[in-house]
Amino acid sequence: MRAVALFLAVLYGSAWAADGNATTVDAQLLDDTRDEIVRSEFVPTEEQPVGEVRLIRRGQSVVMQTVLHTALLKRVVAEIRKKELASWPPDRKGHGDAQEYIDAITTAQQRIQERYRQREDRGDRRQKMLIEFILSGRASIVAISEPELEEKSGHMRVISRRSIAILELSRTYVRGNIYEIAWDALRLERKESRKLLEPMLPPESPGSREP
Amino acid sequence: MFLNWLLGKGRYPYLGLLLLTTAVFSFFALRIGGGAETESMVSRDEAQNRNYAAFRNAFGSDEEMLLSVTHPSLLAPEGLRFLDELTKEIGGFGGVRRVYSLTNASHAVPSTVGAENEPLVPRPFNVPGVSRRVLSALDDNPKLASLLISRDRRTAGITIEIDGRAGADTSKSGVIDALRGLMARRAGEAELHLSGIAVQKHDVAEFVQRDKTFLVPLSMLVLATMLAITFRHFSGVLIPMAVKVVSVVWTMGAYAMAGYRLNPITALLPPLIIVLSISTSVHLYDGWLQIPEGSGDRVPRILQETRRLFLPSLFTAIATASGLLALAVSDIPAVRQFGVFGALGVFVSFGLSATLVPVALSFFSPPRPEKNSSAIVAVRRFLSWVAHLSTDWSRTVLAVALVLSLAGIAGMTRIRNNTDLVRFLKPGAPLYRDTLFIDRNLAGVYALEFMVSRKDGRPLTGPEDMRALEAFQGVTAGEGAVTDSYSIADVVRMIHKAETGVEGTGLPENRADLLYIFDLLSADKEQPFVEKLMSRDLSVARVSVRLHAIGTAEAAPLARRLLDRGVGTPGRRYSLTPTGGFYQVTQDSNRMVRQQILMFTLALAAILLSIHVLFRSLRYTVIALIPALVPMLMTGGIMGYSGIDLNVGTAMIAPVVLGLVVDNTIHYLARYRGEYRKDVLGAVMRTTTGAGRALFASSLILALGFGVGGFGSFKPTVHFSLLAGGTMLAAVACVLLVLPACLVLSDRPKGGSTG
Repeated sequence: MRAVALFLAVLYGSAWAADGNATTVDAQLLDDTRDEIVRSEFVPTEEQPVGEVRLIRRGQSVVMQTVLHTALLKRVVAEIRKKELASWPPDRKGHGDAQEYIDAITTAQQRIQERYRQREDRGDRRQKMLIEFILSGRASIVAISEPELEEKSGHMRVISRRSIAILELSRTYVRGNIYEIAWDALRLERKESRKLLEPMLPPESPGSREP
Repeated sequence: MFLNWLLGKGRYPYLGLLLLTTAVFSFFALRIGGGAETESMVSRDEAQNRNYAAFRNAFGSDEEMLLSVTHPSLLAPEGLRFLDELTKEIGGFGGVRRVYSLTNASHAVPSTVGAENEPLVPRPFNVPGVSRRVLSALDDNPKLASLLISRDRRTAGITIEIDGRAGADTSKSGVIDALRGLMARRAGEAELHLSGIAVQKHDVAEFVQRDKTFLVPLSMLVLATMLAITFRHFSGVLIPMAVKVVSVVWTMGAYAMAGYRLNPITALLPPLIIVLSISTSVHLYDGWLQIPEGSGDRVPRILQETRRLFLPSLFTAIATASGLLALAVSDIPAVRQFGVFGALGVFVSFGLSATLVPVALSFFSPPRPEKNSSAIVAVRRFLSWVAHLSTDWSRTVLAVALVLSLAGIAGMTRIRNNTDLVRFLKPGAPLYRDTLFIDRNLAGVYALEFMVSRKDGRPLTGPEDMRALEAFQGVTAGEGAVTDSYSIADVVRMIHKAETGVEGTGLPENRADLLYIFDLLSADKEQPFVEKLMSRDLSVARVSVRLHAIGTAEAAPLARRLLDRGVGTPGRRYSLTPTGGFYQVTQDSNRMVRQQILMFTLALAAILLSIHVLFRSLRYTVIALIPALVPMLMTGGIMGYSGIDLNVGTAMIAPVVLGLVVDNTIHYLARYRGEYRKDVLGAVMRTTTGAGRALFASSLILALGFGVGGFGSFKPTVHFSLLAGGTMLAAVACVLLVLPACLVLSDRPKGGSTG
């Protein structure tokens, strides 16, 4: 439990859309065929991972991708909720985004769990969730889906995804969240993260001020 | 022919060869080493050992040690700091796998994300209200509390898990020594007690070793003194003592060459051989004393005396060895080794007595005939009176023997089969005090372990499986000797309560919730106790039933009862396998009693056969049985009436002593047959007065030799020694009274034959 508690990608966001309808979003933002992984870490540890966090360059976009593959998805989502509420208190701008994001991942977890219960083969109790914070020059979104994964050299590769929710969030929020994850899950120092992320992130974005 | 050569030209080559052989055996005997191992004290019952191996493979060692800490302010910051320091220091000892205590334990608490692991004691220890918070946490987790602290909350327990590799005696010993060192250093700060089955085994082995180093020299001294008093000649002490020393060296050398290490039972071999090797040399020396002074035919007289005693001595050796060899049927290796090498020692001693004693005597001139001192006159008068008593009052003597035997049988029915490692020690022994203190204050020092699995081999991941474990624990709760029981169901209940945040929540009611709890547990590396309760594949659960410090007399039926009632309680779908170190002790104790009967029967049959072969007389064989059985029955009766339990030590009395008891009978009958000239009364008189002194002397020496063990620090040693010694005295009384009475009553004057 403590190990789980230690893992926490702090994910921020505000709801923009739900129910996985990607029609209003540039499909290119979700096209992972051109993904270039910049950095990757298992969370919480390589020895006992519940998932993997990756910083990805996807064309002109920057993606902070979290692949969760764990029997403790409910617990991980609960931990995310806890951290979200702590980081985005009601008096801070973005609290509403955080609230909607929490609602979205909670609903997604319940759907994934329901689908797991309906499966005939329940030998592997691990459930899968993919969360992507995507920031481009024009958009800032969070995409939540249930992926199909393939294990390759110890890493999980996304083969396909069933979209559950796509949220458009404020740029400040998504940008800040990418930083939070970089510090927490990718274990980067603040200076180091700025050095890595600033050249990648779209310029003149509203969230250029570091959170 | 051989003896002629031996006492002539062969003397020096024989002595040279003897010295050389003794030097070789000494080399090996000195390499046996001092540390007593305990692995060979456990039986080789395949099913039992297989179960225990499976248990240890799944859950690690169950031989945990418990250090109790009674601190004046246990739950105040200073008390918690003290406990934490001890916990950390012990955790750093080599050979220690894990340490659990109040200060490193954690419990599940509800949180916004569900159950969360939280230290039972908040840190730092000086946060305001720490005592109140700890007390509250303990009250919320009574199962956990019973493992960690006494009910009055004044004594904490530190549970120490040893590296469970097989044969890790040395590792255990090192940890125990380190713990004792720590206790000595920190004794001024708190009251500390250490116990556990591993500590008990270690200390028992230490006691036996300590006794051996003290009792062997004492035994030698007593025997030398007795020989000096009996024979009043330097050679009368030197020659029998030389036979003893060489017998011990050869036997223990052979033991070492066979690759064995000493264990608490075989550590008794040297004193046993010292005692057993007395008989033949005493009889030979006594015969030699009767050679007239200045006799020119000294060597022929030695030869004649040796030949006269050869056959009876050979058969007494066979009888004694048969008793010991009967122990070879035991499936406890230590007992088998004791029997086999004890028998070897008897034959070595006989071989040396029959050769070394005549050779040594050939260097001495026969002493002057004994003067009729007042003591000798008194002995002769006493023996004459004994002979008259046995012949004139033969029916009365037999009636008394019968009454004593019946009383003995009645007493034997009260003998309890009980191995109680703690109460084997004298009440003043530190381990005795430590164990009983821990037993009174914490959750007991022993545990019966049960492995629970589904008969269909599926993992125990259903709510019904947890309910089955809970039901079995409920069965154990009704037993007075049970302090508490622990299983994975307790942990699941604790986490489920924290996960749901609802007070009074029981076990999860659906499989998904239960599986989720198992997933939570498996994700937590800081919950090592989980793997002490459930196998990794979740197919076997452990139910650990903690017991008070009881003996096997109470524990064996308790285990049986729990098994019988437990099998029905979880349902037919489950199999329940009792195991664990303490369970093994209880089973071995029971098995030993069953084998005791077999061992005694085998020994008796072998002894009677050897008597029959020697005398070729059914009458003698039957008569020999009576004085052998009467003292055994009396000893059994004494055990029963005085509350001496049958255990590893006392179970060996009968087979060991039976052979010795028969020795005197054989010597008496051999002499009687030579003296019999169709006058039973005269033959008895001549035999009793002629052989009586040697019989009495050898029995008294044996009794005192055994009696030295009465100074032992370990009750089985004390009981074995005193009872064996007492049996020897009763046996000589029977040989000098009951045996002649039987001979008188069974004599057939008209037949003119002695059988």
